[in-house]
Amino acid sequence: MNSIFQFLYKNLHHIVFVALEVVCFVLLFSYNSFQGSIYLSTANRATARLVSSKDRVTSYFGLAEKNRDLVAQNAQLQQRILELEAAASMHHLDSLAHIETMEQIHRTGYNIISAQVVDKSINKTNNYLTIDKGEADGVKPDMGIMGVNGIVGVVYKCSKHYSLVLPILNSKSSVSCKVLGSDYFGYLRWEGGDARYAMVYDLPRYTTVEIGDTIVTSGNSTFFPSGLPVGTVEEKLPSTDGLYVTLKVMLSTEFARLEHVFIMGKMDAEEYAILQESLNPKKKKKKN
Amino acid sequence: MERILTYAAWILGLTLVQVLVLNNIFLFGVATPFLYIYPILILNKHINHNILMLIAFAAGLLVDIFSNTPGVNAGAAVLIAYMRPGVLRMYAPREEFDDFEPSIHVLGPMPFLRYALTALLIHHAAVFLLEAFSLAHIGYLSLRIVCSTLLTTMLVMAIEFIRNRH
Repeated sequence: MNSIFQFLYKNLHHIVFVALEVVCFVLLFSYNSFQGSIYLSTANRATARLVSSKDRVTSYFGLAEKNRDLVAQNAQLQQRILELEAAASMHHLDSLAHIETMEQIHRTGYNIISAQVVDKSINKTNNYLTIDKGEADGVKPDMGIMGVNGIVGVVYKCSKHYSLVLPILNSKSSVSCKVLGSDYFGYLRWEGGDARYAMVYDLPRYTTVEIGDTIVTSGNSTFFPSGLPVGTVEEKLPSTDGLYVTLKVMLSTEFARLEHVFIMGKMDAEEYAILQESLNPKKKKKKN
Repeated sequence: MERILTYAAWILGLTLVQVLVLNNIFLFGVATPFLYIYPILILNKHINHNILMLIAFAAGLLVDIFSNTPGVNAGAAVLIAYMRPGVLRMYAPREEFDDFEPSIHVLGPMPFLRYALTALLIHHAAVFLLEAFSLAHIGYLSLRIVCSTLLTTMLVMAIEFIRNRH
């Protein structure tokens, strides 16, 4: 018995080493699942406070560029309002068409919550962002995130006041997208390296695409409505099996200087059902 | 006691520097320094091996929590703490010194450089391999490991020269 203890004591450092490494691997793998704990991330309260206080300092750098982007976006939105107003005035007298348009808008109904990026990384294979809005602000996992110039990623986990975002720059992220003006879908992936570029896979070989074409979201997932900018085609590469083309895409979002983001929450399923009902007079009458 | 406090200050200070500054460095798209491991390299040679590993685990986990990489830095730090006596034996013959803290002052600049380079290479390789957890881009990954190791080694040597200038 004594010799067993002696043996254990002599080899204690091996045992401690193995035990600690086992703990590390458990952390490593449990974190990869969606159920992983929020406490070991930058979205928990204490760490988020620290990183956001850093952000308060660093967010002053590059204000001019951010302003320029916001002004550009304002202009775009203004343009969009004018277009929509023009479209709305055309349908003004046709009440049926009006209902249809309303229905269309609500079908792609997304609530927009704006947030600030408090922490981010771009130099890993699996990068994450931390934003300063959480459950208390109505943010839930699986909501899409958009930046000023294009899509950013998807909400991964939420604490009360902060959320962890799985950006495009994470090998686990995959976003359905298409070439603007065509209907063929592919998916966008990033596999490490340069944070400015990502790849679009699985587009059929016969898709007509030119260098400089715009890539937008396809709307095939609930994360993003269709037509949000993703990037522009930089290079066209044939895939190994010859059936598909792979595109190297320059991302619209510059992750290196990302500060403001918009969270797009798809309206709740129930809410959506009620909304549809109210827009459909026939059903309403029946109920009454 | 004073020495323990000094070490605690080193570890906490460098962990803060790591998460607030160094984690954001991405030199030439390849190099990211991991300086938080420096206190593990310079702790007294005769510190209890188990305690060394526990300290490394704590420091690594702290960095992990701030970098959203649970297990990665902790695992790598524990690995280097586990291997440190072996690495140290390679560059510091046992009979010469009994009780010392590895530094350029005690070991001499070249042996310390070799010691730091070896230890940091092991640590950085572990960090990058655990983080990527795939060998799909092994060329780029190797480049990142080597460049980051060189960058961290430069920082470590700079700190060593500043600490030992008398």
